[in-house]
Amino acid sequence: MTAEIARPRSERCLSDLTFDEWFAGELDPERVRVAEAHLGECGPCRDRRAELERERARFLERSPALPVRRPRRHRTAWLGAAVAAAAGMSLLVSTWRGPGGPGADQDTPGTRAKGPRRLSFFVKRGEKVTEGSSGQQVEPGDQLRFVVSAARPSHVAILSLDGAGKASIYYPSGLEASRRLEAQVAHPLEDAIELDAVLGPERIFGVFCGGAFELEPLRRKLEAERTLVAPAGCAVDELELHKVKAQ
Amino acid sequence: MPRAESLESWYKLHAPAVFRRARRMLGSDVEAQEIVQDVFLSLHERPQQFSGKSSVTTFLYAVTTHACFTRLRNQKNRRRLMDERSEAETQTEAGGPSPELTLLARRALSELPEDVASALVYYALDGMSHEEIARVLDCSRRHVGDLLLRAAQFARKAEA
Repeated sequence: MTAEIARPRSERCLSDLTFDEWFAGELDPERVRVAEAHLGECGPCRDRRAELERERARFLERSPALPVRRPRRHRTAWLGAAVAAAAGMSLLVSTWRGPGGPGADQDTPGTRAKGPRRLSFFVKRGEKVTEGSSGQQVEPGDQLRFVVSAARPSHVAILSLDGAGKASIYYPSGLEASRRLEAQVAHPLEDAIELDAVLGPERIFGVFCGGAFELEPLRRKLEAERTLVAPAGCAVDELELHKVKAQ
Repeated sequence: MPRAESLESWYKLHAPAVFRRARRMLGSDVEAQEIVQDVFLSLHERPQQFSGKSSVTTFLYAVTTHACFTRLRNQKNRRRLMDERSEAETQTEAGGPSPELTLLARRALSELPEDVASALVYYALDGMSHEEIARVLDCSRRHVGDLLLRAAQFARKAEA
């Protein structure tokens, strides 16, 4: 039935799952006895166990403790200095606005119409990095890096609805739920997004909530309803881009 | 529900496997390290994810596979990851899957429904039996057989 998809080792061999449960002390004594007996007569499984043990040792030598901070992706390393400088400039400009400046309405639930933005972005095209604004023209291949501001710790996600009506999760990447960010002004997020070839208007929604929320239901809702109304207790900041063919 | 100290011990016991599997699925040390961070930080922020109904290892297998699936399904990430990956980046491990199977599993993760792609990953990359796959997916062995049949059809098409 699965002849086209071969297992790495024979049907009788121990799986990586069994080895990992063994390393974690999760196998009961009977399964340990069976596994040891199998190892006694199976060279490939002995080799596999040795390989997994070497890999474990290498990993723990390199990353011995639970991470407390997320490193930036290599992909976005080029953005660091330019965005930091530009974000610093934004902060400076915002600060000059006085008490009504940064974050003046940032804890007001609802969809932002006017007032300071919680969500902004930078665009990299070729080697040039510029600060973006809602309504801006962008091109396939442009890279966006988002910057968020929040007056208090918030759970944040960024979603997009592209010109074909497809909704995507831009931030956080690879997680099921929103990410909690500390209160901060003009904080560049760690990931950059490369725009694909779908042309037309692309709407970007920054969602800021007091508590954690699931991403996939929100993405499905956005795709179905083609807009995102702020969930209860949350604020949504919306940007619109116009993606046109590269000149 | 992992407390801080048990989370630390979970990391030492399980992070190597999370990293190894994520690297195989995504083909990148950097991406795999991010998956490790995402998985454990998410567990720290929402410990109720682990209900205790399964072993920690099977729970983390499922979480890691899903995290890699999600990362490959994000169309922006997929384009970048698939563009950046090549056969040269598939590492041969002693007793591990072949580079061909690894590439097939990556394609499956980016193109097939999650349950079919996951079954393929567990069978072809992790070397799991139908019974073990049923345990991780929390379904019947018969359903695992159906999923692998669909995965085999995908493999045939990919080969053609």
